[in-house]
Amino acid sequence: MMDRSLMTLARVQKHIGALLNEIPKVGGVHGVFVCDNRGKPFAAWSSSTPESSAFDQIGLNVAQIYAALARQMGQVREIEIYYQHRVLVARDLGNIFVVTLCMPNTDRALLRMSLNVAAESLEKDTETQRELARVAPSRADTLSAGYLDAAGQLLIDRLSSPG
Amino acid sequence: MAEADLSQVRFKLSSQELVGSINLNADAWRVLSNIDGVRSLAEIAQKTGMDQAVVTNIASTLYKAGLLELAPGSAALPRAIVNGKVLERVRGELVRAIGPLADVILEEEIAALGETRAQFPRDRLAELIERVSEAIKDNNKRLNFQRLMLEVLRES
Repeated sequence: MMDRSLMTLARVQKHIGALLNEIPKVGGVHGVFVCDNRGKPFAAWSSSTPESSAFDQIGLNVAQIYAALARQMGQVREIEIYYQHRVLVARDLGNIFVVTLCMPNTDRALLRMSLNVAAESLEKDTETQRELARVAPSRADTLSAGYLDAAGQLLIDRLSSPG
Repeated sequence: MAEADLSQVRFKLSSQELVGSINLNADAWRVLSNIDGVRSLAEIAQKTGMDQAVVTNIASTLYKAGLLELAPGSAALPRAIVNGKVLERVRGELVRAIGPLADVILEEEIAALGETRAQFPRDRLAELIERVSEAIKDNNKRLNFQRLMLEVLRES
């Protein structure tokens, strides 16, 4: 079990290395991080020195958005959020997702193609995907009470109540 | 790059908060240190003795990075035009992927973007490539095409 975990970790690191090497080459990108299904970041690159809690919070919120959208409309591959003159682009990669923080004038087509190419090996690695799913099976967990603050719980309660 | 009137293009330092850090080489610093909202790119090129195309490229990069914004009353930054050889390379790889239909698809997508082949703007090349790559139905072939095109984009 330990050997298998180490092998999975080595494979994940190799795949993530490809992402963290390629995506920052796109002009205007100032942050990239990779999260498990519960939104927990396990690798990141940033052009500044971010507080790790910022990535933790963003990762969790993005996982919750993916889970909520999946509940309402099925699987969603890419999410773009505009905030404070910046753009957040999240890409689903199976049992992992990658978040890119960039400027509004970042070439989005270039970013998408860079993600396509850099993420190819990870998306196709079924064994790694299986192992990642064992660690964090579902994003839906992030909509449960343990992951929500008071405002989030209230919103979920209101959405779930009839009428 | 198309001929452009740089005498009317002026930048000033951006008023927006900068995120992260930026490394500047000597040429970029020379351009940045002459940006004052009054001097045009043509004047900066003359003052520094640098080539106008180089000054324009540097200013464009700093603008995209958020360091600069166009000064009030400035003309728009001239758009770089894609070299004909680059478009030919895109066409060549697309033909390899989907056959002779590539010519039709390429022309249709250029027209759909409201542009012409002769004056296709460099800043829309990735958008064009992404659109034409949708015609490649095989996932592996499409990814391979995009991989090759990323190299073309970085070289051009």
